[in-house]
Parts: sequence; structure tokens; C-alpha cells
Amino acid sequence: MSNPSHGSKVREARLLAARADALRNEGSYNQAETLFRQAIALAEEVFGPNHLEVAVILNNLAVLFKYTGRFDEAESLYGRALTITQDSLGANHPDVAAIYHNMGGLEHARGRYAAGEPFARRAVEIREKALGPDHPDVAADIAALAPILDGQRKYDESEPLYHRALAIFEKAYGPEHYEIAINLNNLAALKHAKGAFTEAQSLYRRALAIKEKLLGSEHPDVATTLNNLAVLLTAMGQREEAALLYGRALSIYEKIFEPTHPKVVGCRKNLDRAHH
Amino acid sequence: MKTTAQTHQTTNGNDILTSLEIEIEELEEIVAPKLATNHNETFVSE
Repeated sequence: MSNPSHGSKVREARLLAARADALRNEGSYNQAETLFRQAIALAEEVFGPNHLEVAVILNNLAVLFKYTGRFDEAESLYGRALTITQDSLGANHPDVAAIYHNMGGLEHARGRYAAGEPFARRAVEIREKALGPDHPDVAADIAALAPILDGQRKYDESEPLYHRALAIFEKAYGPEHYEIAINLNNLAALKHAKGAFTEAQSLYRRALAIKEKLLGSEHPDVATTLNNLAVLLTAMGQREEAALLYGRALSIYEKIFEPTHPKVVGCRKNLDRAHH
Repeated sequence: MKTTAQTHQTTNGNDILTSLEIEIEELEEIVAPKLATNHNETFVSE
């Protein structure tokens, strides 16, 4: 029978990690970080520093750091999580793929698309082999690879990936899921880049409607689509609506992120350019 | 988990359970955290 204090610490670490995940998903990043750090300290105490459960929480905090622009801290945590997971489960386990997926995402956020591409491709390769081509986790990997390709203007390869991921997500989750909203936003950005403005606008508005319904109107992911739609509307000469959308996006970002966060800086630049 | 059981031996040698204490909340399992994966959302600049 287990030691009661050990058992209660395990439960507490898991509760803290679960609450931290929920707070990160709703965009409450500061509160989430505090709980993640408490969960890691407790998990390291009860499981030891190289346990898989510690690796999971390290990874999950790294995801938060990616979103908040703390890229070097994210990289360090992913590195530790990857080592523990590979040593415990082997190099071809789907959990290893999940961390590669995230490492690719970190490079995407840094704008280092070519550096992110091998990580993203490895994630697809491992999980496709382990789970089959139509699994939602594989769709998530494909959906993460596609914008990394977009960053390198490899649109001919990325566009079919969005359609494949969307088909899997719609079958698995229905038409109004977070994964679908993210993909519609990214596909819209691709359409904009290819000059298909009307199609892009329709996709952005669908993405925005799903995000606002699922996340509320003040979530940073809502701000991203507002910013993107504003860029498109500016290109289409609809400057009045664009200015309103930029204002909304910037107001959301500034409440959540530091002034130096890439999205705050980028949105402000977009707004300034739209005025000139 | 805390479980306490008390038995009483009857005259014919059989044990009967006379009390059982379990801390029910200890039985609740909290699921281990799962690996989160991030989403790569395109942020467009002018």
C-alpha cells in the first residue's frame, strides 16, 4: 500500500497540472505559469526529476512559453522533456512525436521556418506510422506542418495538407471545433497570400465566428484572426473596418502580453502602416 | 489509501467482518496530465 503523503502529493501535482493546462487554454498565462511551476516542483519531489510525468508538465509549460514569446525558456524545457521521454519510451513513440510537433511550433513562432520543418515532418512520420493516416493526432501534426511550409512559401504542398487535416477534424469533431478554427485561419492566410481575397475573407470570418463562440471575444486567438482579417481588408481597400479590427486585436493582446511580445509589436506595426 | 478492517472470530472458528473503514476520497484517482501540443497559427503582417 502506498504512503498516504506520497499519494496525496501525486494527486496535488496532477491537480495543479490540470488546472494549469485549463488556465493556459483560456489564455490566463500568468496564473497558469504559477501552477505549472508548483506542479513541476511537486512532481519532481514525488517521482524524481527524470520521470515521464515530470516531462509532460515541462512540455506543457513550454507550450505556454511559446505562446507568451519566451522562446529560449520553451526550448530548454522541450529539450529536457524530449530527453526524458525518449529515454523512457524510445525514439519512435507517439509522445516523442508530440514533443517534436511542439519543437517545430516553437521555430514557427520564432519565424525560423526551415529550422522547424524537420521537427514537424518527424512528428507526422512517427504518429502516422503509429496511429494511421486518419487519426486526429496525425491531422494535428499535418496542420502544424502546413504553416511552417507557408512561411517558406511552399504553398503547393501546404494547401492540400490543410484540406486533409480539415476533413479529419470535421469527421472527428464536427464543424465547430477549435482545431477547425485554427486551420480555417491558416488556410485563409494562404488564400490571401495567393491573391484569393474573397475566399480568404470568407474563411477568416468562419474562423472568427467559431473562435468567438468557443473562446469568447477576448481570447488572444481571436485577436490573431482579427489582425489577419484587418490586413486582408486593408489590402481590399476596406480601411474603416480594418482599423476597427486592428483596434480590437491590439486591445486584447495588450491586456495579455508584454509590450515586446511579437504579436503586440506586429499588430501595432500593421495598424501604423494601415494609417499611412 | 487507508483501509481498516476488524474481524471477530465466532465460536465455530469462522471470521466475520465487524467493521470496515475506507477513506473514500483516497479512492478517487486523478488522471495523470497529458502532453499538450501547440498550434501554429499564421499571424499576417502588412
